[in-house]
Amino acid sequence: MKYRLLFGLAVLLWLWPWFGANLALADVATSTSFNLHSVIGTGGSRSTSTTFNEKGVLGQPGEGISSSTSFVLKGGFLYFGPAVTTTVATSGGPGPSGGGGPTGGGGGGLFFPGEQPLPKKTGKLRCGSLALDKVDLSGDCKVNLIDLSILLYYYERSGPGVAQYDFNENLTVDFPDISVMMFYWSG
Amino acid sequence: MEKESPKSFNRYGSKFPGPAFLFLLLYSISYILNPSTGYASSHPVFYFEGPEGMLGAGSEFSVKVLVDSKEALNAYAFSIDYPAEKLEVVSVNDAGTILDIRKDQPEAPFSSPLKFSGAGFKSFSGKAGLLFRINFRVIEVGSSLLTFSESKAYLADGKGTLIVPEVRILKVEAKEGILGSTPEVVNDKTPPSFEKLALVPDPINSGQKLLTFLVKDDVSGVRDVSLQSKRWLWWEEIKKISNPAAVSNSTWAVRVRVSDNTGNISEKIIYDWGVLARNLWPLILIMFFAIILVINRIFRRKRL
Repeated sequence: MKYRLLFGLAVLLWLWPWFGANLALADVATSTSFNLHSVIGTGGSRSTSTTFNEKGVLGQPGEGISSSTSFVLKGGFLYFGPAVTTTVATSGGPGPSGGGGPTGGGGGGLFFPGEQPLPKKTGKLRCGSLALDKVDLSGDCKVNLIDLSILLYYYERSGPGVAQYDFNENLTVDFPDISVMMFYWSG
Repeated sequence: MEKESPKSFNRYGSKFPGPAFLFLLLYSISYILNPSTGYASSHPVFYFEGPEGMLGAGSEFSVKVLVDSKEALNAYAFSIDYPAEKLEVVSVNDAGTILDIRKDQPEAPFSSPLKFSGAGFKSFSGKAGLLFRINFRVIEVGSSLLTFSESKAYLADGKGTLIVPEVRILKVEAKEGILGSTPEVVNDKTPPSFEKLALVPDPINSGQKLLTFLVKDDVSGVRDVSLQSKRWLWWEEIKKISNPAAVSNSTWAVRVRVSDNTGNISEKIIYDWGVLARNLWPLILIMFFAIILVINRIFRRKRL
């Protein structure tokens, strides 16, 4: 009996690395307008598209910060910071951007009072690549010295206002963010 | 005959403008024609600082690439043209520059044009900001011109504003009959230092992680950086890398070696113990239970 118990425990421990540790690495569901990573039954997930990046969804936006080039979603009661206006990049340099909480949704997409509604989703990535969409800060669909210059302006800054420059989402624009940009350099 | 109004005449009794007015007029003309008298360019200036005087065949000399700017800049890109039939690039030195990140930096074998680009964590404004140092050797006498092409600078304004700098050329003269000279030997006994070194997950491609590093050598400059990685029990082949380098998610150890231009070497190994545990977990488990079983059998025999 003792040995059966021990054997069962051993099997369970053996199987843990393949199932237990990898629970978060489920299938990636994709479409032309979003990427859904790490789908878990409770709804924790990371969803992105050309116009939003939503993370940590648990029925309602989970605690944390989600961002894209056009908005920042502050989930939870810890982020009652000062409102920061959001500017939608049209061409050339984007200027600093941030966001307050979303005020509406559905139908035509997310927008804030006083802001122009976001353009209709075309169903395509803005630059044809998730990497370019995330790392291209100047809006020219290239990752080059212009983007590095913009990123360095926000170097070592923290907070929701610099979320779009924080590629590894650790709430600070630091050296790993520069490294990510240099890795996806297109010239 | 009407007398002309006294107001038509100056104090010297002449209809012509007085000396004061003439002086002012002449000064204004000379002020406009002479740009060096107080007129300052609002554009940054890229220029060289090189050897003075005549050089001989075989001479080695150092040229600094510098920038002056009234506006704060943080990123730079430029190419340098030189006559490859008269001059040969010996080395490029990035020690003590205002750049912390170098994207384009020429490597041996060198050829014209030399392409450079990079940026600094801190913005620069002022005079004589060092961008790079290039060491040349004269291989044929005559006049050689060093010129800039495709020069760009970006303002540190968070918008990536491009500003085209003014450029200045450098003329180097070499003549037969003059003894060749060598630049001052750099006595560098300090190995390069690691400012930053880390393995970070790639936020875009979850199938890999990035080795991110920042290395510096303030005397002779960094020559190259190489990497060796371990996924199981042995080191894989060495390869030269630039920042950052992608490694597989199953890599659990990375050895980074940096050498400077005088041959000093620094080496560091970083570990990802979580990956190692995940890779070796089944083996550890088997060994653990095998040991337990063996110990159990031994105790059983003793009881019998």
